[in-house]
Amino acid sequence: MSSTAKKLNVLDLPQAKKEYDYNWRVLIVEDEPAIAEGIKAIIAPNPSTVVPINRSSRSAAPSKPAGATNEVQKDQFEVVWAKNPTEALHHIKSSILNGKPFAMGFFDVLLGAEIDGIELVRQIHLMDPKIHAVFVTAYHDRTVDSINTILGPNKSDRWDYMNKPFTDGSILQKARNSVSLWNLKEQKKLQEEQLSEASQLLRVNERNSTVAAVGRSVAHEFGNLLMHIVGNAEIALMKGDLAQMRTALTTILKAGETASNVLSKFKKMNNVEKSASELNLTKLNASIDEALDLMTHDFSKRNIKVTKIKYHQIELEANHHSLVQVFINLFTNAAYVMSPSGQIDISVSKCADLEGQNPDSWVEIKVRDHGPGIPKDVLPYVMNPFYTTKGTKGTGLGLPICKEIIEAEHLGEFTLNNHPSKGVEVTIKIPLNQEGAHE
Amino acid sequence: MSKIQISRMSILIVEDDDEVRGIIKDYMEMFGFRTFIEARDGAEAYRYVLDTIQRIDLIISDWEMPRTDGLSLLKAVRAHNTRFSTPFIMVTSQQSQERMKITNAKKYAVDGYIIKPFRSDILREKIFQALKITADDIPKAG
Repeated sequence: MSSTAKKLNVLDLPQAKKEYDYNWRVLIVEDEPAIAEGIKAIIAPNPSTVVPINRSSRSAAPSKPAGATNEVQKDQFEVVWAKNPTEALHHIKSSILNGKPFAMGFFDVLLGAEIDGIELVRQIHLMDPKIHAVFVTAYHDRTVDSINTILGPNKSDRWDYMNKPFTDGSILQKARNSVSLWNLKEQKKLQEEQLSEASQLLRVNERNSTVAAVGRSVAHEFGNLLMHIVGNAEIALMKGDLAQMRTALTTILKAGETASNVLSKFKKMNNVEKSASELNLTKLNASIDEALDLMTHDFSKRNIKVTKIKYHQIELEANHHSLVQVFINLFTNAAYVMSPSGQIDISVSKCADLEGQNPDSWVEIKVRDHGPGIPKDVLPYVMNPFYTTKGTKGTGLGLPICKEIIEAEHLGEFTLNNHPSKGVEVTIKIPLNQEGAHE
Repeated sequence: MSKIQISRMSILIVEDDDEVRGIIKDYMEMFGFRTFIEARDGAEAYRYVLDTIQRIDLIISDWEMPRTDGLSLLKAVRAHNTRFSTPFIMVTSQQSQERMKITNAKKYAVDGYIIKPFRSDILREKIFQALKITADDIPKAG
């Protein structure tokens, strides 16, 4: 991740766009100087001035209606002429080396050289696969199919052709189209890169906020446990009664043990990254119980009862910490939608694989809440990254991360639906053995 | 204020952790208080608040509790016709959110707040301040 990305936070995202340098560079490969000059004169008539976009052709340019406002977007073509394939390849090479690639090129087909314009573009595409080529051809030069065969079907979005004789307007418009296509593709790529960086960052934030939520719960629990220790010790000291001291010491020892248990679970949560993607023989019920333990405070605060409807003891190949994260996410979501009290049902049992074959080779875990359920029109979006109903409290990545942990890390299946009677039901299916899970 | 008066005072202790509630009670017994009403959450405590025959001279309440939390109880007490001026001490354990919590509680005129874990001297000091009594009015602890 770049240093820029590290500085990002969720609120910064709209401002995080890198400055985009629009590429106006055009290469003309033409052995006839007059034609090359002609094309250049059409798309960049005077390098020091710019051509209004509303021009349909050169001849239509000079007269403008008074008060015309449609000249905001200007053409700023930067034209380089190569009179033969050798020069063209040289310009392409140095454009790549200088980091100033051409967006498009006009290529005469018959160049009077050893290779024609189409073979030249084939060679250029080996160096610069992104350049858009427009072949300027007479009807009899080549067919579209033969060009396609030479350049390859994967390049069909990187070339176009125009027949001689051409009009000024068609040349100008081809240049604009090709340049804007090149730039759109680049901008899209840039945006995708930024989005991927941002989403990676958000996932880290989501993890941190899960840790923070559990941290608050742990802090509360620690406050109470320390109170047990401090209070009992002080009272026992003040009263000086032996029986009272024994009781106090027992309570203190118990508080110490509970505190170290809570702490070790919390530490494990923070160390998930280190053990990520390591799948070991894991007791599934231990993962669920650990998540339940960490949620104890939240559940008691929200008056949430947990019912284990079926709770078969299952061992499977899995990442314990990832599963704990999944269950904490699901329990947090369930608790969030139920107020002032509620119930979460958990069931765990073996099942057949996704094709309904090999009985008992997979495990099915259902986590159901008794909340209001998800409205039909919202249901299709809840698994989408960035979708959240929690406003600024959510990142909208909890469920997508759960889905990824189950499906990508454990080769399982993660589905979410409204329960027929009430609430939301998440169904997780995981193969007990990763090997041959999808054979 | 005499020692007799302190022992007659009725203290409402609101805390969901039985052990912590017991410790607060033990501490207060050492200060000379004798009459306690105990509640496990804000809702249960509010029932005592609404019972006009019930004497309540001081409320000590945890912030984080199931159902109705300490701040909701504080707001309800401050909005009550006759109980609005009852001294109220808030107990909390989440130091990270302390600033926000204190700001919120101050809006509703909390008389004191204590962060868990606390020793008896801190509790005594906060109670003195809330009840506007001096150390001489209360017997020494132990």
